[in-house]
Amino acid sequence: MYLGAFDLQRRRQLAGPLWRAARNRLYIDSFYEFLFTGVGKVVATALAFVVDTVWIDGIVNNVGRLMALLSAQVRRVQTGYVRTYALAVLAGGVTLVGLLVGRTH
Amino acid sequence: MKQHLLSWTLWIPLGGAILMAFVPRDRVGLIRGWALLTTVGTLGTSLAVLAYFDKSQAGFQMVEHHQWIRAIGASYHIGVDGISLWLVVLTAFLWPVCVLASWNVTKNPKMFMGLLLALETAVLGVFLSLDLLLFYVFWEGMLVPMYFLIGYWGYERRVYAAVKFFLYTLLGGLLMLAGIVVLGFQAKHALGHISFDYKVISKLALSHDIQRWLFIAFFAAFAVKVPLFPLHTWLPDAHTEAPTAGSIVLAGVLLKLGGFGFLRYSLPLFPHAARAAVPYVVALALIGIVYGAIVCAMQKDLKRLIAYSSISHLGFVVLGIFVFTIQGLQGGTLQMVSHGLSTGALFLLVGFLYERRHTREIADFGGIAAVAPVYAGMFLIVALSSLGLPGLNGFVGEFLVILGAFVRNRTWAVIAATGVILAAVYLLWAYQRVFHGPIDIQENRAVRDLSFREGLAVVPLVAAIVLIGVWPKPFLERMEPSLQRVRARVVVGATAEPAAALRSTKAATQVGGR
Repeated sequence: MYLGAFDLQRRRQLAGPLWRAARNRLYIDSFYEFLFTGVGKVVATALAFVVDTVWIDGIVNNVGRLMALLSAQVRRVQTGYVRTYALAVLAGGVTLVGLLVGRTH
Repeated sequence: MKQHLLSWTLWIPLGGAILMAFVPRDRVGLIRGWALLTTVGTLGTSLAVLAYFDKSQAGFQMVEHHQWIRAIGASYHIGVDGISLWLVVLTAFLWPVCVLASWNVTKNPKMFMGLLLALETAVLGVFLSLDLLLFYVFWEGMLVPMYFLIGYWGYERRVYAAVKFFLYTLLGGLLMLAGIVVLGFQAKHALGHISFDYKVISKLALSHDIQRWLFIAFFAAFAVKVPLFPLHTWLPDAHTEAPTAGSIVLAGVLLKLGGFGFLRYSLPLFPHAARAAVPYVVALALIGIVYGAIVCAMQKDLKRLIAYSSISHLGFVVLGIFVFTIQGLQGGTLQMVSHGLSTGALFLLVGFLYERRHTREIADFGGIAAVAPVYAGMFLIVALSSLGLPGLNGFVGEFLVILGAFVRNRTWAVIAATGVILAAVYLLWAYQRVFHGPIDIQENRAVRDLSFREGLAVVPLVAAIVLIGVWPKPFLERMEPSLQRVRARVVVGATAEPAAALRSTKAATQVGGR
């Protein structure tokens, strides 16, 4: 059977989607590229720059910040006035005496 | 000389550091030469240790034992066995490389080299100590020089990285100190006098409850060092910000202290607790293998990428140790040595690239192979060894670990194997972006190839990488008896008989079925 002169363009149209699928290697490569390279990169980026940097390291750094914050409050006790320290010594002494007396009774 | 060989190896570097104090600070050539001579001398004595080592023995060899502080039962007790032997040789082998890598340090080279030498003694001391207090002294002693190496000679965020490294390690170490003190008093309970001697303590019968608490205390120190997920975030910062020699030391030997600690202390001293911990530790190791590899792939900084790859590779070490099969134990121990060589070499090579271009960003490179072919070739060999190409060192350790895991639990082996695939992804992708393609950035055209001094530092590492890859037997056979002994302590019903080695696959299968 003679189909006329070989017309590539016409045959492409006849084969339609089948031709396109074959031409794109059945989309296997594109699918892999999407799944492993595309999705993989998104997942890896999320793990590297959210989970690791923001979450895990964030907790670590915030523990440090919390310590700095607490010490900033605690250092206020250190006023530099002898009267404050004398008061603290007095309070300690009274507590000790109280404990000793409480024990003997 | 022979009976004090270990002491020589241990103290030569510190002696060199002390003598360094008498070198005038402007005699830079003398400083470098003296540091190189000291480290090469230490390498020499460590090779003598290797030569005298009797590979048929499982116990400690070349032991030296002297009283130190009688009142608290501390002694100067050192010795080497199949577990520490290769780590000692690796340490002595890496230090001259570090000195060569730091040849161009201009910021107070005298102090730098002095600290580097002092650090070597501390690291060797950790491996050689057979007294827990002595061990602890070296363990913490390591921190000081390392802190200054990162904090003073590091890159932009060096102080942050140094403090983070210090706090992490110190916190873990202090918990371990508490554990050591408890062990000392347990010895007093049993013997009537306090003792920190490893041989005494390993004979104590500890109750399950005490074992569990002590295991946790020691685990804190070792898990930070390895590092296990999620205690790993100090590592990328410290490795990236440290100067090249600091990175080589950190990745090459400091991370091994965790794996070594598990083998020397956690498993033999607290076998019951170690058995109970297997599911948790293995889970963390597997997460580390996969997570480290995935996070690694997206790093933009070449040094940071290599740092994250360590988390993945060290996961293999921990997995191998905690499957308790002889292949796993051997693979884990060999992987420690292999990783020290491969990752040490990678940091060394990245350091050379930084000296040329003053950047570590992967995006700043491309086409380097065209202008520096020898450098590119060396980098390729080392990268392939790191991703476990058969014939190079990384393969032997990882394969043994996966094999050892497989006979115990197939799922573990499958998950671990994905780490090998991901290693190929991140390393080859990084290699492609740095070395292949067109030279888009003009500065890259001026990158020169390796100099003689640089070649002198790289070639021994590459030679060792190939040697372990094609002929691992001398390495494996020297560690086997000691590892069998560890296994006999931790696996119920296992024996330390040499014949057991031949049947180890069968025995391991039985353990897996239990």
